[in-house]
Amino acid sequence: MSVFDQLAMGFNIALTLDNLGYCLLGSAIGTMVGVLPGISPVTTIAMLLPITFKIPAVSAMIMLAGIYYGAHHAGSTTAIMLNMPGEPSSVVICMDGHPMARQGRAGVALCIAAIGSFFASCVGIIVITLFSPVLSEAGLLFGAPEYAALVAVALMTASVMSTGHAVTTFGMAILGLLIGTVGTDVGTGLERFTFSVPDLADGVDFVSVAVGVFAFAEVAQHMGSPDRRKSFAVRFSELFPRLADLKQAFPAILRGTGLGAALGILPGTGPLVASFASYALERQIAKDKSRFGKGAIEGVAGPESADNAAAMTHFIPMLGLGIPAGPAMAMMLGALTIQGVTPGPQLMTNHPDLFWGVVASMWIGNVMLLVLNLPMIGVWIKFLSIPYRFLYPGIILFCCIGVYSVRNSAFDVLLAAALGLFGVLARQLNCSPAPLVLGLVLGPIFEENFRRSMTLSNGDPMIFFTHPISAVLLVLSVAFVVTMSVSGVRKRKQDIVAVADDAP
Amino acid sequence: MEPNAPKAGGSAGPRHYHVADKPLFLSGLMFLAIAVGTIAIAWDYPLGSASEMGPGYFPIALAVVLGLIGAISTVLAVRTTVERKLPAFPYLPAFSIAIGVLGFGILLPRFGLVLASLFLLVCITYQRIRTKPIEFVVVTAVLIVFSSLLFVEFLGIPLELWP
Repeated sequence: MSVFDQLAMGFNIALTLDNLGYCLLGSAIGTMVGVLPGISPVTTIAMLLPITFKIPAVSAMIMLAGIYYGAHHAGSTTAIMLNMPGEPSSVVICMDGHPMARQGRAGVALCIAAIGSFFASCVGIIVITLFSPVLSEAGLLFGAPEYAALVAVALMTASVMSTGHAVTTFGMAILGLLIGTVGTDVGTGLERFTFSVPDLADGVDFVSVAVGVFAFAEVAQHMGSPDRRKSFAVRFSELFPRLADLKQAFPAILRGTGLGAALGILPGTGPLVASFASYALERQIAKDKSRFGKGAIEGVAGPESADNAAAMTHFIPMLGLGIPAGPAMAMMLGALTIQGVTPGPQLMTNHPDLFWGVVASMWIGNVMLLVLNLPMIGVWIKFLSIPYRFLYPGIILFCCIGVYSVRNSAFDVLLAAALGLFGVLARQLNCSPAPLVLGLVLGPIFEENFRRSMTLSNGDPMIFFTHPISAVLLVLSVAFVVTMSVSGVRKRKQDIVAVADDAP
Repeated sequence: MEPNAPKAGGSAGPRHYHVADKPLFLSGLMFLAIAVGTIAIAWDYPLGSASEMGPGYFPIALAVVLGLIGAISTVLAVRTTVERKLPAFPYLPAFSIAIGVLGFGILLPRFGLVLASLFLLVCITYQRIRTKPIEFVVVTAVLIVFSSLLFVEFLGIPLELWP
C-alpha cells in the first residue's frame, strides 16, 4: 500500500463523527491548557486517562494528541498578550511577542504565530508520515544492544537538555531507572524493593509518579505564589501583518520549522529546546541584533514554528519505536498499553488503523486549531481571568481519581501523594522531574535489553560497539553531549531563561 | 572568587569551605542517601555475573552510579563560583496537598468517592473556609457533583459513591 492509500484509510477513520468530535474536544482542551499557565499537557492527559479507557484506542489517541499539539499552538497567545507563557516552550515568545503587543502590533504577532504554527505543524505531520514507517522498519531490525543504546541516548540527551545542572539531571534519570527496577524481576521472579506491598509487585505505576511529580508539585508551587494579575496596555491598532512583516517572518518560520522538526525527533529534546534554539539562532544570524527583545518579528515566528514542528515530530519515536521522547509521550504510551496496544516498532504493522487514523486526525486538528486560535482568541483570554484558586482543586481532584482508576489501586494514590512531596523537594533543589519520568518509563526496556546484550556477549561490554547501529548511536550522543556542554549553548539557554524569568 | 567567610554548611577547620550552590549540594546529599539506602536493601539480592545478571546487579550498579553523581554534585557545589540560594519551601501548600491526597486514597475504598473528595477538597482549600465560606461550599459541591456524574455515572468507573 502506498502512503496515499494508507492516508486515505486514515482519513476514513478520522472523519467519522465520533472521531471528529474527539479531535475537536482534544484541540479545544489543548488550547485551554496552552492558554492557562499552571496546567500542562502532561497533567491534563493524566486527568483524562480514565476517559480513555472507555473509548476505542484510536479515538483516545486522537484526543490526547489533540491536547498535546493544541497546547503548543496556543501557548504563544498569552505570551504575546500578557507576557505570561501558557507553556514553558512559549517563554521565549514573551521576549519579542509582548513588546510587539505593547507597540500595538498584537494582532500582527498573533497572526504570524498562528501562521507559523500552522505551517510548522503541516511540515511536522509530513515528516511523521514519511519518517515513521522508515523508522519502524529500522526498528524491527533492532536487537537488544541497539535498544539499550537507544535508551541510553535518550536519557543522555534528556539530561543535557533539561534545566538544572547536567550532573543533577543525569542523576534524576538514573533515579528514574532505579525506581523502574521496583517490582518483580523478569528473569528470576524475585521481588525487588517491594517491602511486601502487593501493589508494588507489578512495579511503580508511572501515572502516580507523573501526577505526583508534575501535577501535585506544580500546584504546590503555584499555590505558594500569589496570583499575579497584570494588565498591560495592549493596543490593537494593527490587526493584520503587512507584506513586509510576512517577508521578514517567513525565512524565520522556515528555519524554525527545520530546527524544530529535527530536534523533536531526538528523545530528550522537544518543543522547549527547539523554541530556545530557534530564538538563539534567529538572534545570532540577525543583521541587527539589538532589535531582539524589543519586538523583532523573527523572535516570534522562529520559536513558534520550532515549538510546533517539534511538537509534531515528538510523536515519531513513540509511534515508530515505542520509545517516548518526553513525559507527555510517556503518558500516551501508557494510555496505549492500558488499551491493550503494545507499543514498539510493530505498532505500525499491527495497528495501521491506529497510526494512520491519528496522523489523519492531525491534519484535521491543525485546521481546527487555526480557527480556534485566531477568531476565538477573545474567549480564551476571558478564561485567563479565572483565578487560579478555582482551578486547582478540580485539577487535584481529577488527578486523584485518574490515578486511582488506572489500576483501581488506592496505593497508587498514596504513592502519588508521597511523590508530590518529593516533586516539590526536587524543584527546590533544582532537579528537573522530566528525566525521572523518562528513566522510569524506559527503565524496564533498558534493563531487559542490557541484560540480554550482556548475556549474548558473555559479559563483554564491547558488544555495544561491535554492533554498528548501537556504536553509531552511542558515539553520536556522546558527541552531542560534549558539543552542548562545551559550546556554551546550555549556558546561553540558561541565560535566556533567567532573563525571561526576571522580565515581569 | 569565592567569598571565604564560613557560612551554614561549611566545615570548621583551618580551611573554610563555602557551599556556594546550596541546591546542588543538597541534591547531591539526597542522591547519596538514596544510593546508600538502595545498596543496603539490595545487598541480599543475588548478584550474578555480568553475563548472567541476577536481580541485584542492575539496581546496585545504578545505585553506585547515583552515589558517584551525588558525591560529584557535593564537590561541585563547594567548588563552584555561582551562588545559588534555596528558594522558600512551600510547606503549607505542599503538605496540605499531600495530606489531602493521602486521605483521599485511604478513604476512597471504604467510604466512597463523595466523602473522600470532601476530605481532599477541605484539605487543599482550607484557607477559604474562613475567608470565603460561601465560595468554598459552592465550589466544593459543584466539583463533587460534577466528578461523581462524570466518572461514575457517565464513564462507569467502578467507584462507590457512598460507604
